[in-house]
Amino acid sequence: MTSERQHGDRANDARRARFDEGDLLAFVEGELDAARSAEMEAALARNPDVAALVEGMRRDREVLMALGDEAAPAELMERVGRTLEGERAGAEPEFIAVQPSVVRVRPSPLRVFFGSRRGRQLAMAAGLLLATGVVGMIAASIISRVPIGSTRTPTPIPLARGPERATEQEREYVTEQLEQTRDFVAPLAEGTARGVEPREPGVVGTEPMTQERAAALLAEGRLAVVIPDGRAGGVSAALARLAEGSDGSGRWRVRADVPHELAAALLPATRPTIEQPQHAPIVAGGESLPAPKFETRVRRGAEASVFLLDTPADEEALREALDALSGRIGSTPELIELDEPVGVPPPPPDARTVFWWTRPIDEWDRAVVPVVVMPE
Amino acid sequence: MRGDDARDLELVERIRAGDPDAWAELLEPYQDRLFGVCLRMVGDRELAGDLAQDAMVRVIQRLHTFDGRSKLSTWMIRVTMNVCLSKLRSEKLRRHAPLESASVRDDSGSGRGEPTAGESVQSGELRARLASALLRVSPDQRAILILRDARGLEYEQIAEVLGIAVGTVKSRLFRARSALREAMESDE
Repeated sequence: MTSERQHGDRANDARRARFDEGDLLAFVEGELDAARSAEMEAALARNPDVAALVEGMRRDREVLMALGDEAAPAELMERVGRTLEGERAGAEPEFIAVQPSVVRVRPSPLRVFFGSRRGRQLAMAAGLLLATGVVGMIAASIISRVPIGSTRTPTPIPLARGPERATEQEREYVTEQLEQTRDFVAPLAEGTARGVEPREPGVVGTEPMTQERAAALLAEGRLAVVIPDGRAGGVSAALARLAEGSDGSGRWRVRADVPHELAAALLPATRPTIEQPQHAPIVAGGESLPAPKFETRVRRGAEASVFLLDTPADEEALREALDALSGRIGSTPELIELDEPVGVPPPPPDARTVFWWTRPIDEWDRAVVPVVVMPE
Repeated sequence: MRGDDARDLELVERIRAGDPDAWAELLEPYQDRLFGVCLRMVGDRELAGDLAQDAMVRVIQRLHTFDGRSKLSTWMIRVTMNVCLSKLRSEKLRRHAPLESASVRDDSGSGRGEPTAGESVQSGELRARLASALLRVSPDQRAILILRDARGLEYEQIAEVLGIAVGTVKSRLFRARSALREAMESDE
């Protein structure tokens, strides 16, 4: 903790000394020209703490560069060959990639998807999931963790078979999900602890933002939207209505399933009021587990509230969503940069979203942006 | 990586044409590098071997999506890094420090100061400490440090591998260096 504080202090020292992060990075990387480098060295000589930080970074870089490659296991190529041969022999048909947005807007890939054996399996899974409620959600998430086009012996896909037959694997997953709802608050708190002078806890940056910058932050999960509410809860009410109904475009939507830790981190320090819908406990392996906490709507009194904007992770879709939001709520959204990425759990399944979970996380092409409605 | 681009492209064409032996010729020169990326990302040889296997199979399976705009070696690293990050994110492996790095940490707690820059490159112990510290920064930060320092990629190539803007690469790299420093200092 002391080390973290010292580290944050030194980062602040760097800012006070008018060092730009880009300058420091260029210096560490040896990319400054001789004149600039001499200026930097002189400046560092006046700031021994920052100089120590920079010297440490340079040393780390040298060591990392010297780490080199390690020899791959002798049998690696043989294992790859066996896997490829097995797949050529038709052990498992190649998965037909289905982009979530494609599922929504283009029917033909969907027909192709349903025409495949894997597609029919997943469609059957989707039906079961929708029928089995919360346990279905858990199973769908487990499906998402099965590598698509798996390179090993095909593993049976765990499906929900009803609450009374949930597996140990599913129970573990519930526990993990609950842990994750706590995890994404930590980076925000860290950002604040490192002395970034947040406008709100965990939120930094107040400069106007270009669309390009917004798109870059969107891709990093570090974008948030703040909407000033000059109508005493009017914007929140409008967003709540949007969250309940269709977004109209089919490409983006507003979600109200905000993890309450996230909302608490984004809203001012006063304790938020948590409105937690009642869930039936999850029965798994004969034991009752707590209901998932991520189906939570959070408001701070009647003043501020948080929603999630769920959008394809591209610049055009972001602009489209913000324009549409602006038109519907009669208020101009302000884009802000989060110091650290924010993660949110996947949405609860419905007919449109269940397909997202059938793809590996690294191939998701959607982003979830916190929308904070603040009183003016 | 090396000036083998023409050879790589020829092998890609042979694989696309159905040559059953070409995949091995293509992958063999890269296996250590791809395994090295996986090993630095997860810190466990066995798991790194599994991930490298997955990545190499995926490279061959998805070769039809390689459009030639980037170097094949960069594209392979992109596929490999995606496999590693996907694994780390889905299993939150970073919480479970591998035994190898735990023992390194134990050995390093003797209170000695850091060697000078000149000594550091030669110091196996410092390398072990750094490899251990690397496993304690976030997977995204680890990825960018590995790509930049251990693999020597340019900013543009890193942007391509991680699918982010060059400006973002720089800001993320600085944060990653800062986080690594913090991890190293907390180890002292």
